[in-house]
Amino acid sequence: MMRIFFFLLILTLSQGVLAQNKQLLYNYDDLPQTLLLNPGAETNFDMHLGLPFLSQIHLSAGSSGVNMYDIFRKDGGSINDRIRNSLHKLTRKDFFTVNQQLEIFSIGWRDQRRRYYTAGIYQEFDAFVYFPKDPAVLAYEGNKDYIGRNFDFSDAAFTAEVLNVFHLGFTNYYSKDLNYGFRGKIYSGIFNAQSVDNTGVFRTELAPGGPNLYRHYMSRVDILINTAGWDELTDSDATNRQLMASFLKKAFLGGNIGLGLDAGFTWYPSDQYRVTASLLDIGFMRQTKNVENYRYYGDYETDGIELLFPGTREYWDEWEDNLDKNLKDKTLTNSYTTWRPVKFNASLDFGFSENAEPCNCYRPMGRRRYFNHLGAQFFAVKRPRGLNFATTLYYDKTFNNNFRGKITYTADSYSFSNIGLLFSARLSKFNVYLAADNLLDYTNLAKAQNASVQLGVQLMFSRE
Amino acid sequence: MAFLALLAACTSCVKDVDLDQTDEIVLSPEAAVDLIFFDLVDEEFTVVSSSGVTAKDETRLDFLDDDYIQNDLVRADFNFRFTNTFESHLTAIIRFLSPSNGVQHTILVSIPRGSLETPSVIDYTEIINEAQINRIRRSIKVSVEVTRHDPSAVAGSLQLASKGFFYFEFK
Repeated sequence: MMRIFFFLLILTLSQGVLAQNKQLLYNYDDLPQTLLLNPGAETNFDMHLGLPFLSQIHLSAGSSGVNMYDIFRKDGGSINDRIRNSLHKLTRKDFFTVNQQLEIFSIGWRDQRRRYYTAGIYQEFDAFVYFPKDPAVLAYEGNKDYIGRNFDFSDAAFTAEVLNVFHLGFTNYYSKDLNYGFRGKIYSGIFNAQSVDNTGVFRTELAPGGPNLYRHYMSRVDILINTAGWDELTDSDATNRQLMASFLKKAFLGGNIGLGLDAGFTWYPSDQYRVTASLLDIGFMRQTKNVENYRYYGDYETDGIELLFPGTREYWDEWEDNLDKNLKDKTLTNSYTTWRPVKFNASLDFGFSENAEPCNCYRPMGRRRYFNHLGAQFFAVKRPRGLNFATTLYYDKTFNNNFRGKITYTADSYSFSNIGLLFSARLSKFNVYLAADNLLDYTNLAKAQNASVQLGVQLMFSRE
Repeated sequence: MAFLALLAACTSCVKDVDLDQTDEIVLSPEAAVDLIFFDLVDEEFTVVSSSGVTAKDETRLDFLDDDYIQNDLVRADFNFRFTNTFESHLTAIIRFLSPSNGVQHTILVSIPRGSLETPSVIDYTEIINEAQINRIRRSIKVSVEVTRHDPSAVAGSLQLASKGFFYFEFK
C-alpha cells in the first residue's frame, strides 16, 4: 500500500505547466476561447457555435520538481536511491498540478451595437498538490535518523475538484479604443476535496532528564480534509447506473452550487499598441451536500509505558486511552466554502505589417489592424500558499484570411524553456485549432516538467 | 505549422525510462520508539525464592499485531539501559509472549551490583534479525522479571529505560 502511494505520488510529480495558463489562446481574437480568458477581448467574428464536446479540449499537467526521467531512467542504478535523492531535492514549495477542461456547449453572437454575448457550459477538473515534504520523508525514511527534528504536517496541502461551469457573458464596445466585458458563472460541483492550513508537528527527542530514552511529541496537530461527493464515489453498494445518475444530477445544478465572475478589458493607447487584462474565477462554492470532513487534532507526548510492579496489567489500554483522549479523530458533516483559484492575465503588445483590407464595421475595430503582433503576457493564479506566476513573450502572425499562428516562449515555476505553438484555420464557416506548449520536450516526454494541449472545432460566422 | 504541431504530438514519446522498475520500489523506513520503563524499589520485590527476591510485571504491546509489523517488519533492535543502585547483583529476564503466554523470545541481562554513590549502568542491545523476526510477529506481550540476589540489600533502586529500532521493508 505504501509503495502504491509513493508510486502514485512520484508518477504525478513526474508529469509535466502552470496548468491553467493558456498563453497560446490569450489575445487570440480569431477564437471564441479567448473570451474565456478575457471577457473584454476583441473578437474577429460575429457569431460562433461550438460543436458540443469538441469546441475546446484542454489537458495540462505540471510538476515544479522532478520529472519521470529523474525517477525511472535506465542507468543501471537503483530506483530507490533515485527516489531518495528526489525526496531530498524537492521542497514543501514544490507542487504538481493537473487541469482539464471540456467545453460541452458554447455559443456567441454580436448585436447591432457591436456588443458580443456568450453563453456556454464547460466541465473542469483541477487538482493542485504541494509536495508533502516532511510527511513523505517520515514515511520513506522513518524518524530514527531524525531525532530532535520536527516533521511538519503543514507541508500537506491540496485541492481537487470536478465541476461544471454555466456561464453567460458580454463584451461591451465602449469606444474604438476600449472594450470591457464581464462573465457571470454558476459552478455546479460534482466532487471536491481540499486540505489546507493544516498544522502540527511530530518530533522525537532524546530525553536525558526524562524517565525513558526518548520522548515523542505530537504538538498542535490539526489536520482537516474536507470532501464533497467522496462518500458516493466510495459507496461500494452503488451501481454504475446510480453513480452515473448522481454524477449527471450534480453536474447539472443538482449538487453543490457556487457563483463566480470574470472581468477584463482591452485598451488601445494607440493603433499599434494594445493593453489587455483580466481577472477570472472570482468566485466561491458552498459545499453543503454529500459533505464529509475528516479531522485529526490534539496534543500528545509520551515516554512509553511505565511498569509499576505490579500495576494494573492494563498498561496498554491506559496508554491507548490516553492517546485517544488527546489525539482525536472525527468524521463530521460540516458544510464548508471553497474559493476558486483566481487567475490574473495582463498583456502589452505591438502590431506591425498593416492589414489594409476593409474593416467590418459591425465589429469594434475602428482602427488600423495588423497582420503581426509581438507581445508580452503576465499570468498569475492564486493557490493555497500564494500566487504562482508565468511570463510569456509571443509572436502572433496572420498568414491570410484562413490561416493564423502564434508562437510563445514562457518562463514559469517549471522551466525557462517552454516553447508553445498555436495554429488555427478557418475554412468557410468551419474553424479548427490546435495548441501545444513545451514542444522542446515532446521528443521525450519523460524529461518534461510540464505539458499542455488545447484543441477544438467550431462554427464561426461573419457578417460581411 | 499544424502538421508540425500534429507531428510533434504524434511522435512524442517517453524514452530512456523503464516503468517496470516500480516492482523494485521498496520503502524502508526505520522507526525509533520508546518502549517500557520503570523505577523498581525494594517493596516491589514480592516473590521470595532460593535465588533471592523477585519482581514481575508485564504489559501488552498491541501494535505488534498490526499489519505493518506482521507483513513488513524485517529487523528489530531492542535497547535496554539498566541503572542499578542496589548493592546487589541482579538478573533481569525480558520475555516476548504470544497471546497464550507462550515464550517467543527471551533476553537475559545480568546487572552487577551498584551503590547509591556509584550506580552500575548496563546498556544492552538485542538484535532480532530477519531469520528471527517471526518471534516478534508472534508476540503480543512483554514481561519483565527482575531477581535481586541479595534480599538484604534493600537500599537503592533499579531503573530501566528502553527503546526499539524497527526496520521495515514495504514492497
